[in-house]
Amino acid sequence: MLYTIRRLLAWFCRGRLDDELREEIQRHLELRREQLIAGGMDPCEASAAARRAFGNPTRVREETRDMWGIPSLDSLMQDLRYGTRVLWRSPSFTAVAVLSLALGIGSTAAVFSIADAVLFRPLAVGAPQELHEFRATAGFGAAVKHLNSVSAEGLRSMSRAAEFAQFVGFRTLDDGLLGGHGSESQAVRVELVSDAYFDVLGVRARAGRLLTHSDAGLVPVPIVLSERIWRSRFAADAKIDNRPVTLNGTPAIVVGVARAFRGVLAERPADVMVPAAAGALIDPATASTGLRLLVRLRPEVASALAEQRIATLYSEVSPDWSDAEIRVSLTDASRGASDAREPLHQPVVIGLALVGVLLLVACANAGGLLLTRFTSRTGEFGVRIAIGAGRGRLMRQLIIEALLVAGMAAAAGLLVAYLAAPLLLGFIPLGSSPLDFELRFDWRLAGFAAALAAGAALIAAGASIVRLLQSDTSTILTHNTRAIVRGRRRGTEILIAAQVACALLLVVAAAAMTRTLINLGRVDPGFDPAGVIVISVDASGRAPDEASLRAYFAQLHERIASAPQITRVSSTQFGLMTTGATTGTVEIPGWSPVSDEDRWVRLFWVGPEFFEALRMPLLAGSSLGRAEAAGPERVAVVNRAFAEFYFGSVANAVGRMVNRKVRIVGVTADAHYGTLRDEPVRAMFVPYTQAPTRTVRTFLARTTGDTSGALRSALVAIRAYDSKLTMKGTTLSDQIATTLSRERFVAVLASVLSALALVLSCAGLYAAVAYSVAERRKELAVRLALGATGKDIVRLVLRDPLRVTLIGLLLGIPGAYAIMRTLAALLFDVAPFDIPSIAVCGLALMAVAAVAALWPARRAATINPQECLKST
Amino acid sequence: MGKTTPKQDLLPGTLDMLILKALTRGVMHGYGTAEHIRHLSDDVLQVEEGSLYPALQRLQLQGLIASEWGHSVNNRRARYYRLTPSGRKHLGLTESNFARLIGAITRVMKPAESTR
Repeated sequence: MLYTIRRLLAWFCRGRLDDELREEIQRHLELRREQLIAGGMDPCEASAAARRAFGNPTRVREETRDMWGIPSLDSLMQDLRYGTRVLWRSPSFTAVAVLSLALGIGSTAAVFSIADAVLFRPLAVGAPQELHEFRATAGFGAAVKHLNSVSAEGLRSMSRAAEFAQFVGFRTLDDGLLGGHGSESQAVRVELVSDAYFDVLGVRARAGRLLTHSDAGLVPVPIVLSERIWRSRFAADAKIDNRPVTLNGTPAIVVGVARAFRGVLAERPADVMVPAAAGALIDPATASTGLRLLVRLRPEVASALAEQRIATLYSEVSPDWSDAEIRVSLTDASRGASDAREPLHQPVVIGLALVGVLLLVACANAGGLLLTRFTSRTGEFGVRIAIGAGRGRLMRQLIIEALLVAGMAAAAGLLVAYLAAPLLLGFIPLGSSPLDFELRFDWRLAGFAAALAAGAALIAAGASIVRLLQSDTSTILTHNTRAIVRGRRRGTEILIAAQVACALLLVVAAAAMTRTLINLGRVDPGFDPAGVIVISVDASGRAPDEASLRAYFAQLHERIASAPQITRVSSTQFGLMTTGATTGTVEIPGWSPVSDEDRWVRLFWVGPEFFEALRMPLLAGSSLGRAEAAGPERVAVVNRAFAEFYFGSVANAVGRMVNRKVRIVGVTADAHYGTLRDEPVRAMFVPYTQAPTRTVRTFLARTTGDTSGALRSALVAIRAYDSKLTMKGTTLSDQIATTLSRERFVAVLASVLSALALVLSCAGLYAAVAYSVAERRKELAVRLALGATGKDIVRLVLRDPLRVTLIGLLLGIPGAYAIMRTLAALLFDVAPFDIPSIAVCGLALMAVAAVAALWPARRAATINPQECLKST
Repeated sequence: MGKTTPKQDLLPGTLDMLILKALTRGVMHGYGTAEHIRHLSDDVLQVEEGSLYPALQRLQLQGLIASEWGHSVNNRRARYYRLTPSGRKHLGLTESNFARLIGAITRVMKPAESTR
C-alpha cells in the first residue's frame, strides 16, 4: 500500500526525479573516470572504460522511470493520446460509432432516470427506511371506505398519544402562486406540512432554518423553499431568510431552504413547504380536507402491532367513523409517499428490460464498426507487432479506443436522456392528479452512464479483440488479406445476427403492445363515454347534517343541469373508470351461497336518469326514474351478470326481491365499471333517495358540442353556487384513457426503441454489405467481365446478408418468447406466444433488412469491370 | 514492450541484499556502494554498475533505504543513501534466508562429504 502511494507520489514529481538521476549517473561516471586516471589510465580511454563499466545509462534511466507511478500509467497516456489521434483522423467513423452508442446509452439513462425517480431513490431525510405510509379503511358491514387522511387536530392528539411512532402530516396543493419577490409570480406546488414535520423527517436546512411547532398560525406565513426554486428564482441567495413574498396573494416570509428535499409525495414534488395551519389562508377551498400521514416507526416496533395501535388511535380521533371497523395498513415509504409507484412498478421494470435490449443492439452495432476499422488497420498493428508490441498492449489499445468512443457517447447520451426522459414520463399520466416525478440529472445518473459506457466499450471492443487473438502473428505481419477478410466476415456476421435478434425482440414487444392498445380501444365499455363530463366533489364540511347535505347535492345537480350544453345529469359516488368502488352483500330469498364471495356485489348509489345519461342499455323492466326513486317501495336495477348469477336469466330477475325489502325493477346490460379489462361483475344500482348520503359524489353529465367548454361552464356554475367546494373536473373519455396509461407507456417506449433498433441494425447491415462490396470489387469486376449479369451480382452480394438476417431472426425467437412472458400481464387479447404475429414481425424485419442490403448491392452491379480491372 | 533484466553475474535477487549489506557500514553514495561490493568480493562480483541505480530506486520506494543530497569531500553534490530501520529488519530476514539457501545448495552439491 505504502509502496503504491510512494510510487504514485514519485509519478507526480517524476521530472525532478529524472533530473536527479541523470546527475547521479553523471557523478558516478566522473568518479569512476577519476579513479581510473589515478590508476594510470589515459583520460580518453578512462571515459570509455567508465561508460563500459556502467552499462547503458539510458536504459538505466528508463528502467528506473518505469518504477515511478503506476507501472503502465505512462504507456497508458501514450495509448490514450494515440487513440485520440486515430479517432480524430477518421471523423465519420467516430461520429457514427458515437451516435450509435449514444442512442443506446441515452435511452437507457433516460429510462433509468425514470426508474430512479419512481422506484429507487430514497427521500433526502434521516433514516428513510423507518418511514411508512398510512392507509386506513373503514368497514361498515359489507361496504368499505378508504380513508387516508386525518385532521390537523387529530394528528396532534395521535402524536401525543403514540410513544412508539412519530407522525408527519402533509397535503399537496398543485396550484400555488409565489409572488412579491421582485419578478413576476411563479406557479409553484405547495406542500402543507404538520407541526413537527421537518424534525420528525430529519431534513437538513440548506440556508436559514426549517419550520417548527412555533411557526403554526403565524402571520405573515413562514415558508420553506425547495433548493430547486431557491436556485431558479432566488439565485441561491444565502441571505434568503426573512425575505417577504406572497403565496396566492397571502403575505408570507421565507425562513429557509430545505436541502435536496421536495416534500414527501414522490409524484408531486413540492417547491414550497408551508405550515398546515396556513392552508385556510392560501387555499380556502380545500381548507377542510385532512392531511395524509407518514409514520416513522422505530426499528424495533413490529409493523403489525403498530398498525393495530394506530388503528385504535385513529378511530379515537375520527368521530365520523366511530361506528365502523377501522383497519390500518403501513407500507414502506422510504422513497416517499406515492399512489403511482405501485401501478408503475411493472411498466418501469419492463421499460428497463426493453431499453437494455436496445443497448445491446447499439453495442453490437458499434462493435461491428470497430471490427471493420480493426481489419483496415491490420497493417498498422502488424508494424507494432514487428517492433515488439505484445498482444496485451494491442488489446489495450483497442479497449482504450472503444472507451474513448463510449465516453463521448455517454456524454452525448446524457444529453439524449435529459431531453427524452421528461417526454417519456409525459406518457404516463395516472389518475386525475398530475404525475411529476422529479427526474434528477446528477452524479448518480452520470455514474450510471459511465458504467454503461465502460460495459458497452468492452462488448464493442470484444469482437476486434477476439479477431486479434485468433489471427496468428504471421497473418497480421504479412497482411494476409484473404485470412483477415474471412475472419472479419465471420465476426461481422455474428454481430449483425445479434442485432437482428435483439431488434426482433423489440419489434415483437412493440407490436404486441400496440395490438393491446388497439384491442382495448375496441372494447365496448357498456356505456357511451363520448361527450360525458365528470365532476367529482367532496362536500366535507359544506352541510351540517344529512338532510341539508341532500339538499346541497340537489342544488349542485340543478346548477350543473342548467349550465349551457348540458343535456342530462346524473351522479354516483365515485363515477366510472376510477379505482374507487363500493361493494355490498346481498341476500336472495330461496338462494343459498356456496361461499361468502357469492354474496358480494358492486354497489352503485345513483342519481336520477343514470342509465339515460350514460346510455347504458336497459335489457328488461324499467329504469330508475324520479317516480320510482321517490316511491314508497325500495327499488333497484341490477346488471345482466347479477341477474344471471342469482336468477338464471335476465327475464327472471325483474320483480324479485333482494335483501328482503328491495325490489328489482329492471336489468341493465353489463358494463366495464373500473377498467376496460374488467370481467363483468355483478352490480346493483340503488337510487340515492333510498341510500345513505356521503360527502363524496361524482356528477356525470352528457353534453353537446365542445366537451371541454361544457366542462368549464359547469365548473363555473358550481363555483357560483359555492366558491369553497373541493372539486375536480375531467371527461369520461380522458378517464378511460388514463386507465390505459401503463399500457400506453410501454407501447410508446417499445415502439420508439424498436424503431431505433431497426435503424441501427439496418445501418449496420448496410455498412457491412457496402464494406464487403468495396472489398470484393475486383472479384465482382472479374465476374462481370466473364459474363455475369447485374442480377447475378446482386444475388451473390445479397445472399450472405440475408442468410445472416434469417439466422438472427431464428435466434431472436426465444428472446421474443421471453419478452412476451414479461409483458403478459399488460397484454390484452394478445396471445403471449403468437407464432403468426412473430412471423409477421420477422418478415417485416427481413423486408427492411433486404432493402438496407439491396442498396449497396445494386451499386455492386453497376461496377464497370474495365475501369476497375485496369486501375490495378 | 517487454522488460529487459539487467545483465549481472549474480544470483537473481541478491543485488538488493548486497546493497543493503553495504549500507550497514554507514551512509554512502551510489558509486561508493559499487566500489564497496567490488572490493569486499575481491573483484569476483562484477556488478554492471548501471544496474545499481534501478535497484537503489526500488529499495527506496519500498522504504528500505532513504536518501538525501549532500556534498562529497571535494565539495561535489552527491546523493547519499542510508539504511532505514525497516531496511535493517528486511536485511536480517533475507540474510538468514540466503544462508539457508546457500547451505542447502552446498549440501546438494557435495553429497559425498555429508555422508563421510
